[in-house]
Amino acid sequence: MTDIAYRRIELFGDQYYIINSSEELYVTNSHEANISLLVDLREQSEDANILINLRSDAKLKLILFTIGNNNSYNLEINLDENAHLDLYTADYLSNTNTNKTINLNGEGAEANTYEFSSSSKDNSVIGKFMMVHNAKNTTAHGKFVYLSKDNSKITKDIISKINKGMDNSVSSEDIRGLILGEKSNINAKPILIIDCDDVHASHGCAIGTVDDNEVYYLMSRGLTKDEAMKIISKSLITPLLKASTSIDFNNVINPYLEKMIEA
Amino acid sequence: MLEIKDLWVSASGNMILKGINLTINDNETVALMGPNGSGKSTLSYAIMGHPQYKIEKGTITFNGIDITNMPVNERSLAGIFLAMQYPYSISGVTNRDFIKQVVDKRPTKDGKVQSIYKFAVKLDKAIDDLHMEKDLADRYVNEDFSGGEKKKNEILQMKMLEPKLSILDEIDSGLDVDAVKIVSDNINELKEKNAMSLMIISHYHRLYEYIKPDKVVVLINGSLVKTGDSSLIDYIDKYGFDPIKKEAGIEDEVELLEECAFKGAK
Repeated sequence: MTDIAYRRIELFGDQYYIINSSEELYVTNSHEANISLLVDLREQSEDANILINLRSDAKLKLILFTIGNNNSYNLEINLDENAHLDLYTADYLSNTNTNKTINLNGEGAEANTYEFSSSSKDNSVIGKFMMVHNAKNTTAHGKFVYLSKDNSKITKDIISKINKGMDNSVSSEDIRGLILGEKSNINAKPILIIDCDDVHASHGCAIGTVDDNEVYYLMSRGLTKDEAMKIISKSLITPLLKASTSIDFNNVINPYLEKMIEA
Repeated sequence: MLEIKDLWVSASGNMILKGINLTINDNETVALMGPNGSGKSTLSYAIMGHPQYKIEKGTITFNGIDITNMPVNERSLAGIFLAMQYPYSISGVTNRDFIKQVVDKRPTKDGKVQSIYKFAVKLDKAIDDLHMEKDLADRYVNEDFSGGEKKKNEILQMKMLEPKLSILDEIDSGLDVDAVKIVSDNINELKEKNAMSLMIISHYHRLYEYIKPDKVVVLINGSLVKTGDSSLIDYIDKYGFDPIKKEAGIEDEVELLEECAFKGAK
């Protein structure tokens, strides 16, 4: 990534951005930003690389939605000392390979992540999400929610890496996968690479079909089975829907999110 | 209102209910009592069409319509409500959105959907009446709720849906003394307002002090063995179910096994 020449865009305040190619974005020291970011790769044939740097004491709430076809893209977010990131991300991509990395480079840096991916028809979504602790007293919590429909397949590696000497770091991974079709497949691996003793690290992974008892509960109040399934699927994207305050951004992504969850 | 005739219900290949005959009339409150494992919850789930419970024989009729094979959502829209013993959590779905969606399935008298404003006013009042936290409407359905909050949330849904028949499966379990009174007052208010029929399942005397049953039926080993008035509750509270079992000629399975083992040892 460092070999690529980027435009540099400063992020601040409440903003909605659209980008179509590789970019570098940053939040200056001690500044706060609440950003809705649409990455539109439909006209791109090359891979895209998005680099975001949070300087020390910077705070960023980032809602990132990517639209593409057979693109691959890489996301790297670097956090300096005491920087804070709340990341909500979803990708409307088919047959792609995505790599997302959060590097906690400064002491006291903290990242909370919510990622949603879905696949349908005969598509295949492959991805890797890494949270790397390169400093002491860093914290990373990730919730990863995947939905596989029809004959599609989702393959994800979720990796938390705590390097040697990075004492008092905390890392957690929570993976939830919902399979809707008989031939749907989710292969999600929670991986912890811990090279330090004095840390807290945890992971959990639950993949399965819809809970029949949840469906029954909803139907017992008058919903049809289809309506119950839709409400359960829609619940997967609730954090994303609530995160962004940009009406324009929500108007663009809502139809895509609806398609991602429809049975 | 509800008529059950010769109902036999099985689950996982085991016959749980054996030939149940029960009628619940309009505006009638029926207390369903019995020892643990007698089939009380099975009966409530069978009335509410749970797919895990198979009706082997018999019929269930509601307001003259045979609902024996009716899908569960249609039974709900017909006016039956089940307040579950163990309500399920639905993560990511707020109480407000969920209740609005199910209320909208029931048009008002003029055939229209209730306005958002009227719905919000009614929901906020119902939450106040149940002494629930104000933020409850915006929390996910039953997620991270205490046991008592889950039970109150069932009654909240009942108040918003205004059913003709409510089945309350151990609604008082998990509620403190004050909460039982509050929940009972809310149930009685709805009963009085809409002439709602009730089937209440509870082991405890205090709920029946607040919601007076018109009829008490006792279920033991899947069969209805005794019917009486509310004095039967005091009797059971004092003497337990053993006298009723003896009267019905039901031998305790544990005692039977012990007897067989003793005879074998001889």
